[in-house]
This record gives sequence, structure tokens and C-alpha cells, in this order.
Amino acid sequence: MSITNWSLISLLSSSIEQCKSIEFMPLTSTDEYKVYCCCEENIYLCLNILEIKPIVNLCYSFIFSKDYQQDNQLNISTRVLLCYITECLTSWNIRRRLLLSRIINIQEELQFLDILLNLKPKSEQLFRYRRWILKQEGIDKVSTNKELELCDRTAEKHFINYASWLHRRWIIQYLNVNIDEELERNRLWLENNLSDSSGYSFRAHLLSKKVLDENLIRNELNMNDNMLEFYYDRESLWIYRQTLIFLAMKFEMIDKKQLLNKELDSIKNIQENFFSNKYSRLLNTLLSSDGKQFRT
Amino acid sequence: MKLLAIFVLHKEDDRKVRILQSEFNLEGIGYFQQRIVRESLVFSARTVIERTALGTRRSVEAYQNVNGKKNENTSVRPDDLASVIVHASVSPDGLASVIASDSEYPQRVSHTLLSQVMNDFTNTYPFTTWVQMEEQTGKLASLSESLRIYQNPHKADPLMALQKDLDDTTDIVINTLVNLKWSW
Repeated sequence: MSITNWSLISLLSSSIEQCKSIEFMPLTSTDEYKVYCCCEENIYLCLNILEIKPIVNLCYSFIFSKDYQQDNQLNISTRVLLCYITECLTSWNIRRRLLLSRIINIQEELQFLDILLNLKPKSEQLFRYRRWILKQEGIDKVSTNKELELCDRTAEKHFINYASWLHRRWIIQYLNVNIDEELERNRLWLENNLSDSSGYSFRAHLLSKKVLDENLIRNELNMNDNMLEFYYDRESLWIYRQTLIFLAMKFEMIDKKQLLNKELDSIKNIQENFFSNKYSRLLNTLLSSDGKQFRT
Repeated sequence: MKLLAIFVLHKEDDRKVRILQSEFNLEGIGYFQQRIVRESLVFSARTVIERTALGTRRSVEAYQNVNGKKNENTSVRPDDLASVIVHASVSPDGLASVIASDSEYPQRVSHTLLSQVMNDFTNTYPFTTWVQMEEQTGKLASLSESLRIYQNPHKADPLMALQKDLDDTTDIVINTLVNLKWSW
């Protein structure tokens, strides 16, 4: 790579290291000079969305070239490339190697991932890399609160964020987080983000980890009732109610017919809409077929 | 669910709308995108009020990702939950208020807040004063307070705890910004 190109990439890399937030916006270049990035107050970095191609080509040609590459050069070029293209597995693997040879510092790398996650909240590779790093660190050094806060943030930024909720499930299992506390946190989060089906499916996952009993399911149904009073036309609430009913039907002790009839009654109090009708049809089918039609 | 902005405006006629006061809550939106989001919210507020008749209320969906990007590659479904909804209410004497929220925020609570904001504004600045006001000279202190408190509709709105019936809300129709027609 020529000296000018290399100094461009180094400059980008050091600004990325220094800044606390990165965004992509169209910036205008003139004939005299090309604008690649803009930095304000030393913490906000803005990369030019119209000049992605040349930078990415430069980085790619360096990383995949047949010449020998020095480690710190690889560090710099992968760092730049990953801001533009988060799913480049080769670059992540290069960084894994650099981390193992201690050229990259773990804490700084976690910081870098934080910033990238603000930029691309739904990136599978990012989360996978983060999990790999956390495993390298060892359980006692990982901060649970920070990880959970990160999951919250990315789940809010991108609607139905599969990668984020998967990471959360992993954290709960890896760090042995208390399930009841997590149920409470999840309830508060769902109050603010009602339509997020991933949040509800995570809640069902938490419930499955506990020893199920009638009271638990009844509490959940009551909470769902309260929500349905105001938000009767949100699909995610109805689907969650369906999940709860199926969970309840698994019990041997519970009187299925009574439960289903009680449900049909309680729906009549809610304003009629597409989802409530669909739900009543489901309940009627279950009642008439003794639940054998659906695999539980 | 969050509220992005509250505006208080004065509608003289269908061509002249002045923004008397505006408050924004754009945390969570990137630093450079905040400028753009602010401008487009101001534009939507002005346009919606220009095309809303005196004494009516409406909620309009503006196809725009809450994070400031336009809908690029998503196939635009009408219930795309990432769009901004603009709730507007114009009183018969020309005072108007607008709230920009995301699509999760309950519509009824935002319209309650709209009426409350207009009442507060009229109490602080009586009719004769705000007719003469210049752009952006309103200084109602409670506006930013209300924006902050109403971020959580469950705590802020007493009616959420009771059954819902508002007596002075008639049909609130959701239109898209494209379908807004001139109101004469």
C-alpha cells in the first residue's frame, strides 16, 4: 500500500480508537479534496457514507494480500474494515489471533465492540466475538450488569433483535443470573417496549427454566390481562397469551376445560379485534378436540 | 416507547404557521443525525398543522425510522413499527400543539398531553399575547418537564389507571403524511 493510503488508514484507525460514537452520514467532497470522516469535540466520529468503497478496497487488498503483514498493521486495517463491514469473518479471526498473542488489549477491545454495537446493533459476528472474548477472560472478570445493559440497549435500538436476545440468553446461562430478578427486569422492559415479540419469547424461555406451577402461570396471565386492557390490539401480547395457555395445558393437575372456558369468558371483556377473534377460534378448537390436535 | 418532541404553534391561516416553542428529546439518536431528525420533525409539525382544520385533532404517520434514517431497504408495511407518529391538535382560536412519538406510544395519552399543553400555555400567555408572538419566543417552563414525565405513559397519565373515556376526543384518524389534503 502506498504511503498516502497507509496514512489515511492509520488516521481512520486512531480516530476510531479515540471516539466514543461512530455514525455514517453523507458528507460532500469537493474536486480538491475528498472527505472521508468528520470528527467533532474529539468524541463524535462521522464516516462518509459516499466514500466507503475506496476505504474498504484498500483494507481488503491489504488483509488478503500475499505479502507479509505485520501484526500492528493488521490491527489497524482490521479495525477500520470492521467499522464498515461488520460481518467480515476473516477480520474477526485475525483479531482473535492478535488477541491471543496479546497484541490487542482485552478491555480496549470490549470498548471497541461497545461502540460498534451502537452502530450495528444486530450483528451476529459482533456478539459471537464478544462471547469468545468473555470466555477468554474468565467468569469472575465479566461484569454482569454491563453485559445486560448492553443487551438492553441493542434490543431497543433494533426492533426484534435476535442476536441481542441470544446474547442475553447466553449471559444468563454462563453467569448463572438469578431468574426471578431477570423476570422482573424483563417485565419492566416489556412495559416500555410492548410489541417486541423477542422480549416475550425470552420471557417464555425464562419461565421454562423455572419449575412451573399454577400460581406462576396465573400471575403471568393476570399481568397479560392488565396490559391487554389498554393495548388490546398488539399482536405480541396475544401471542404471549397463547404461549401461556399452551404452557398451562401441559400440566396434568389443571382442569383444561375449565381453564379454556374461563379464558373465553375473560376475552369478552376486551374490545373485539382481529387478534381476539383469532384467539377465541383457537380456544374453541382446543376445547372441541380435547387438546389433542396440538402437540404440547 | 418514547416521545421525541413537543411543539406549540400558532396557526393563522392555512399558509402561515408559527412555531412558538419547541422541546426535543433526542437521546439515543446519533450526534450527527440529531440535526437532521430535528429539522424533519420541525418540518412535519409545520406541515401537519398547515393542513389540519381549526378545532380538529389527528395523528399522522411519518415514514421515518426513529433513528433518523429513511426507510431504505425495508419493505414499507403500514404498521412498520419504526416510524414516527405525529399527533396534532388545533384549537378553534388558532393555538395548536404537536407531539412526535414512536408508534408504540398510546395515542390517547398523547392527545391528553396535547390538551394539557395547550391549557398550560394559555394560562401562562393569554390569548392577546400569543397572537403577537414571534417564532420560538415561548418560554413555558413546564413544557420540558411534561416531555420528561410523559416518557413513561403509565406513571404520567392518571387515566391509564382508570377505564378509558375522554369526552372531548372525537374521531382520531390515522393518515399518512402523503394523504394529507388541504382542509378547505
